[in-house]
Formats: sequence, structure tokens, C-alpha cells
Amino acid sequence: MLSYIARRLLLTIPTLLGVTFLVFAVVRLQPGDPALEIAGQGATEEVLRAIRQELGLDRPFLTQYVDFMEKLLRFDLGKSLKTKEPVAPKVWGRFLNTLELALAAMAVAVTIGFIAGIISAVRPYSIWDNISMVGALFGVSMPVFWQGLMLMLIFSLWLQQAIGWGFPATGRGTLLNLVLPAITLGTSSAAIIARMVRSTMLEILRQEYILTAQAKGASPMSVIFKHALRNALIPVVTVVGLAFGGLLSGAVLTENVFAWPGIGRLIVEEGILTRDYPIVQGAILLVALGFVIVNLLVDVLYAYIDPRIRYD
Amino acid sequence: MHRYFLLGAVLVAAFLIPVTDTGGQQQVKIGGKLVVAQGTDAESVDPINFSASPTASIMEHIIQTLVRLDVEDRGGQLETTPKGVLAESWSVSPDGRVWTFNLRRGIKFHDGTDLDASVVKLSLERALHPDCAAPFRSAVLGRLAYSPASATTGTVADKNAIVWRANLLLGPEGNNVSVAIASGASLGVSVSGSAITVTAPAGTTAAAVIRAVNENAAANKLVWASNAPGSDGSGAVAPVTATRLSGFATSVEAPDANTVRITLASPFAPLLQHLAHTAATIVSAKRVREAIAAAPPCGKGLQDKVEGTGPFMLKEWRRGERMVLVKNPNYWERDAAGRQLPYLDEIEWRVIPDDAARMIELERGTVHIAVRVPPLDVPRLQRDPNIVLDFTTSVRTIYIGMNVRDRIPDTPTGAANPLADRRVRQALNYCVDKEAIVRTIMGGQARVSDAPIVPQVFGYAKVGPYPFDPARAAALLREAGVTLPLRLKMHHPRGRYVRDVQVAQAVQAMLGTCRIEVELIPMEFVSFLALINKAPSEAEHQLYLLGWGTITLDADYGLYSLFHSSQWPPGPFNRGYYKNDRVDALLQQGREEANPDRRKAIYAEAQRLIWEDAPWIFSHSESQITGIRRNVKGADVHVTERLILWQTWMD
Repeated sequence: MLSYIARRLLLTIPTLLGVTFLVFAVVRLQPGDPALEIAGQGATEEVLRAIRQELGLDRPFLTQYVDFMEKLLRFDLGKSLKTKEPVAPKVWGRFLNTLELALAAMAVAVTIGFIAGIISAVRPYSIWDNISMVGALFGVSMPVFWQGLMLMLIFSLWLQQAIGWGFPATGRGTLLNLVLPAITLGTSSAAIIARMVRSTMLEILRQEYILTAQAKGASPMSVIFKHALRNALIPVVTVVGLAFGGLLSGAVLTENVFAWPGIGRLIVEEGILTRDYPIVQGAILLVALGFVIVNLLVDVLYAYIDPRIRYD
Repeated sequence: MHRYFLLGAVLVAAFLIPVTDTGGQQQVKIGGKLVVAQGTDAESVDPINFSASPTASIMEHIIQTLVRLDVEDRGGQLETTPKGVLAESWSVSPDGRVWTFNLRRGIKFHDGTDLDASVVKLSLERALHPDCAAPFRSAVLGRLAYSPASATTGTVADKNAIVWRANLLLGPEGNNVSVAIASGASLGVSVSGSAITVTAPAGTTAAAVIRAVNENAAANKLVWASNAPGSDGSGAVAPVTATRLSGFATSVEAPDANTVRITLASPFAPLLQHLAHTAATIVSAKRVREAIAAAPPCGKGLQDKVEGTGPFMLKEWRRGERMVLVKNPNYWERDAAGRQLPYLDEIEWRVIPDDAARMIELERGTVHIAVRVPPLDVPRLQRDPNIVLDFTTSVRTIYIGMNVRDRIPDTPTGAANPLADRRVRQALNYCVDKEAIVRTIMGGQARVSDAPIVPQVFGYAKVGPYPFDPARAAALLREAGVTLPLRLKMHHPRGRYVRDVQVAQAVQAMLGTCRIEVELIPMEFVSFLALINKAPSEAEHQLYLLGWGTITLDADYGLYSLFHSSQWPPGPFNRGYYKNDRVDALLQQGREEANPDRRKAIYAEAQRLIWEDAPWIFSHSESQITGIRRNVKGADVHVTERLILWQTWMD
């Protein structure tokens, strides 16, 4: 197992190399001159040249890339073009905020998704099944900014006006601040998980070993959770892993609505809008690394869930 | 005495906000924490590293300028007056070139150090240093800056003096020079025109003078070297060359601890307005000096922390989330009743990018002041008894500029340009219904332009508006002999100004009714700026939608850069290449004339001429709408899109 993990870790290197090159190229191919952005409207050509030189923007693309990789090997993500601060601590701080929100959102998604999925599978075509699945359809279809604002309106503003207390609407701070953004962000994942759990469970509940378990007198709870659910987990874990990886890249819209200081907003507000290449690069690299690690964890989890899976 | 002002009262009467009586007898409640929500975070708290008004809004509570601009309503007439902040008083020499500021005594920075002239000099010179690339360096502080000399030749004029024919000052005004050479007790430095004369006491040789100047060179001064070893003081010597070795020079001097002297190359009347800008704020020297020593010439790591003299001190800043300011217990300023300012204990500036979410927080009362209320939310918020809306016109004017050169691009082979004809440009103005743009697209939250600048700006004169008159437009087009339909291109930014895309589309549709077919080319802002920042011989643009904020509240800033013919791109902002000799002369006079009444007359004539020449389609100026909880008293919204909260308190 350890050697498998080690091999997988080594395999992430070419993946990340590819990511660095893509990010580096894409960021530089977009229109707009960062020197102009830094120096402001009134800058003379002389000043612009000096800035380009200082930032190395006047050198050939590949030279810049090699330089960037050299620094990266020393965990140096460069300095922000605009504020000249090192990028690494800034990106890391924002990533942790995003991680916090992503974990909370996943907790919501997994809880709701599993409950709804299991109920639907155990009582297929019942009223509960219909409610769950229509709800799932809503969950997937609702735009997050709208859902976020609705939740805010109802549970923050109206609740406050009605009983004098409401959930905090925006910002990061107490655990209560997590509630609304986590629900907003977790809803669509919950819907996907619910459908996944339902369909996998339905299939498994028709298997003969379930019949055997029931025949030997196992309690319904034990049949559902021990015999069926455990076997249904593999595809579900894959979905959860993918969803979680996606959440790590920062949900710009949700972060924007709830004024959550996550990495998505960092990329857009301080990176893309001001052409601050190093911030965009650093943030995307970190996000890619997060995604790769989550994938690895999912693979390792497979072996834990299904002891027949061995990797050596 | 208090500085409330009813901005927009005369202009947007419908949105007049009643403001509390500001007499000194009024009871105020001391203490409490105020929460303000803005859409964007501050970029930095370092005055050389910011460019946007949300940043300035916060910074001005921490760090202060020598003077500030108060806008007062005097019988329906809005007056902008510079008031002393760190400068107690000031005077200007009869020739209008030498400004002397006397600093307020006994002011301490948040870190306990004293304010003195050397600190002021340090802050201003840092903002002026070309290597520091402060965004407002040339636009706001350019008049104070002296570009470094490249090489300068000098001759020994007589036994005791060397005269340098300097080639020092770059810029449109030419070679008028005054340089602060480190003048030791034994040396006199005087400047006249482009000559710098260094004199020494009788008996000193010219060679000794050169040596003395060299030895006297301190950091941040021009350093002079000589290649004239043969100078023996006889007067018959080879030319002396002075070369800049390091540093740069500014016109800011600190002759003693409480005096700051600024010497300008030529008279510049609106200097105070420029010194009132946030880019000219004074920062405690302690950390700045350490930072500069570690990383000359600008210093690093000063973006997150700052110590100033302001009413509040920076306590905590979590980027993208919030900045918390606490009361400065030793703040120097008192209110009209003699009470110590500020009233509040704390201000928390929160970042809430989403407009709707920001309004929800305001309605919940978890935020006391929310900036940039969306026009669509106005009716709902006006019904809320706990919220007061403040409507203050912004100094930002939105216009559609026109390339007025004879050919586009302006080369012998360029295409003939119909917009070179003034009648065509006027026709475009008559054809656009500005009232409709303001009423519908801007939801009433804007003001139709009746001059190139807004009424809060000193020197404003009402010269318009162009009425909506398609018949007149048609007649003018006929008179100009234009073949219809006339096809034009219009470049415009997306999302830079309030509803800019919709404004561009409306203008397109309106011009269409006059058989002027406009092709719209939306662009990302930075690329757009690059496109219109070209010399006329390379320029391809015809119509371009742009905004300009006259942030110094003086007509010079709003007119000179945009209409003087020395300000053609690349670089400056006269992007339609407008040129009118009379306007040029007036704008030059305006910046040199010291008498305010005469300046007003000069600018009134300039605006009248510009209006007739119509180098823009004059559209509208934006409004800023601010939501304030009713229990918050004395919150000021300044025309420069800043909040002023040191006389604010909560009931």
C-alpha cells in the first residue's frame, strides 16, 4: 500500500508539470498589459518598459517559464505584481478558508445526499422517493447565487425581522457563518450524491446476497447499512471525491455572494481582474495540487472500503 | 464650522437628504463600533500603492494630508475650500512659485513619533520617486516632481560662482529649473530660469565650490561631479560638467522642523487641491526609513501596516474580509464644541462584493453604512424606516470622446474624418437624448452633463446641456455636407462604469435615428486604454466611451489633461487630439492665475469654447448612493467617493 501511495505521488509530478505549463501559458495569452495595469493610465512608455524589465515580461516566453519553474522548486511562487508581496502565504491563507467552506459543504452534501438516497432506494417510487428526487433536480438546477441570496433573505433577514435573530449573512468568523454558504455550496453535490446512492443501492438491493442476508434473519437496518450501503460506496466515493476536488477550486459565485474570503475570489478579484499573473498561477497550482491529493485519497479509500482491492 | 454639505441639493433636488443640525451644542454619543460595507477591499494602506476610492476612504482615517478639501453649500453655490489639516497655515510667494507650509505643532504619529517637516518631505518624495511608480505620481503630484538630470554642463561665470545650464526638468513646461542642492552653510544656491548658480564666499575658488557641492551631497539630492580639474578660480576655465550620480530631486524642502517649502517650476494655482489627494498623505517615518534602508528607494512590506496622524489606528486587516480601525486616543483635532474627535471607538470596514448581500446586511442592521446601493433597490430601501439614503453626485463625468483629427489615422493616407467638422460633432450631441439615458438606463441616479466638469469642481460653469433636437442635428449634418448614412466605430469598456454597455447601446440607437450608423466594439478596460493611448498618426479610434473623475475638485485637473493640446497621447489623456489655441492659452492661464475670481472667469470661457467645439458627446455624471442606518449621525459622503467618519456617532 505504501509503495502504491509513493508511486501515485510520483505520478502527480508530470500532472503538475502539465498544469504549470498550461497555467503559465494561458495566463500570458490573455489580453491586457500588466505593466499598464500597474503603472496606471498616465504612465510613459519609459516607465512601462522599466516595469516590464523588472518583472521579466520583456523576456522570451520559455525563459520566463524556466525561471518560474526554478523558483517553484524552492516553493517560491513569486511576488504579486501589484503589491509586491510574496504570493505563497497569501494563496495558502485563502486556500485554508476555501478548505473550511468545502469541508462544511461536503458535510452538508454527504449528510443530505446519503439520507435522501437511502430513503429513496429503500422505498422506491414512494412519496419520499419522489420528494427526494424532485428535490435533487432542484438542487442541481438552482443557480448558487440565487439560492444563496434566497437563503440569506429567509434565514438572515426575515428570520431576524420575525424573531429578532437570524443567521449571519456574510463573512467568515463563527461556525454559524458557515451554515448558509455551506448549504448553498453543498446543495448541488447533495443532489448528485443522492441520485448516485439511490441508483447504486437499488441495484445492490436486488442482489442475491441481500436476499441471503434477509433470509438468515439480519435486521433491516443491518441489511441496509452493513450489507448494501458498504457495497454501494465505491461509486459514491468517486463522486464525492470529484465534487470535493471541485469545491477546493473555490466556488467564486458562492464566495462572492457570502463575502467569503476564499481562493476563488482571490483568483478573480486580485488575480484576473488586475492581471496579477503570479497570484493566478500560484492559486491555480495550489488548487490543482489539492485536486490531485483528493484523487489519491479516494483511491486509497477504495482499498479501505473494499478489502479485495489491492494495489501491489 | 462642521463640514456637512448638501451635495447635489441644487442638482438632484428630489434626492435631498436632510442632514442633522451641526451646531456645537448638539449632544453626541461617544463610543461604539460602526460597521461599513464596501464592495471591494483596500488594495494596500501604503499611499504609493493604491489607486481606488474604496482604499482612499479607509486610508484617510489613518493617515492625513497637509490640507483637505471641504465642499460647502453657500446659498446654493457649492464652494470647495482647502482647509489645513497637518498644515496650520500656508503662504505663497508673489510669483506663485514658492509655497510655504507651517505645520501644526505637537502632532504625534500613532507610533509615538513627532510630526516634523522632514517626515512630510520623506512621504512626499517617496510618492514622487519614479522608481516607486505610485499610480497617482504624474497625474496628482507631477508638478512637484523633478525628473533626474541626465548630464548638465556648467561654466564658471566668475571667480566665485559656477552657473550650470541645466537640462533638468522634463515635461511640457521646458527647462525651468529649481533644484534643492544640498547647500551647506558656506554655499549659496540660486536658480534663475535654467541656470543654477552656486556661489561661495569671497576668496573661494570655483574648484573649491565644485568640491564643496560634491561633498555636500546627501542622499536624495542631486550629486554633482566635475570634470574640470583645471578650474583654479581665475575665471578662464574649461566648461564644467555636472553629472547626476545618484538620487533624484524634488521641489520639497524642509528648511526647519515646522516648515515645508515647495518650489514649483512655474506657478500652479491648484497646488493645494493636489496636496489634498490621498496620494499626498503623510506617513510616520519610523518604519518607512527602515524599509527604505533595507530596500531602496521605496521600501518593501509597507502595504499591510501604516502609522499616521489620523483619528483612527489600524488594528487588524484580514484581506478580502475586513479591516478594523480603533480610535486614536491622542488625536489632535476637536469638534466645534471642543470635544475630542473621533466619537466612535471602532470602525470595521467589511468587504461584501455582492450588491444584494450588502443590502441585506444593511437591512438587518449588521452593517451601518453600505456604499454603492444598486439603483433598483432604492425604492425598497426608501420605504425602510431604519435606513436613510444619501445621494451625492460623484465627480466622475461619463462622455463619448471623438477623434477630431482630419484623417484617421492622422497620416497623408489616412481616411478622411467627418468628426473633424465641428458641426458634425455638435449634431451628434443634439442627436443623443441624455435625459433619456439618465432616466432609464441610470434609473434617475445620474445627472445630465451641462459642462465638461461637475458643479462641485472649482471653476465649473454651466454652459449646456445640448438639448435633444434631432431636427437641429439633421440640419447641421446637411450643412456639413455629410453623406448619410454616416458610418462610425465606437469603442467602449465593459463593466468599468455604471451600466457602460447599456449607455453605449443607447447612444448607438439614438444616433441611428439620425442616420448615423455606429458599430459598437466592446473591450476589456486595459486593452481599451491601450487602444486609445496612441499618437494620432497611429490612432484608429473614432468614438470612445470613457469617464473622468476630477478628484482634485479643481477645474485644472478636469480640463487641462483632457483638452490642452500638449496632452495628446501616448501618455496623457486628450485622446481625441482636440486643439484650440484659445483654449490652450486659457487653460495655461488658469493654472498660473492666483486670483480665484479671475480663475473662475478664465475657466468659464474655456468651458464655453470647449462646449461649442464639442470634442465629446457630453453625457452624464454618475451618482453615488449610500445606505446609512438612521441611528448613524454625521456620516459624510464626499464627492470624491470617500466616506468621512471622524465626526460620526451612533444614537
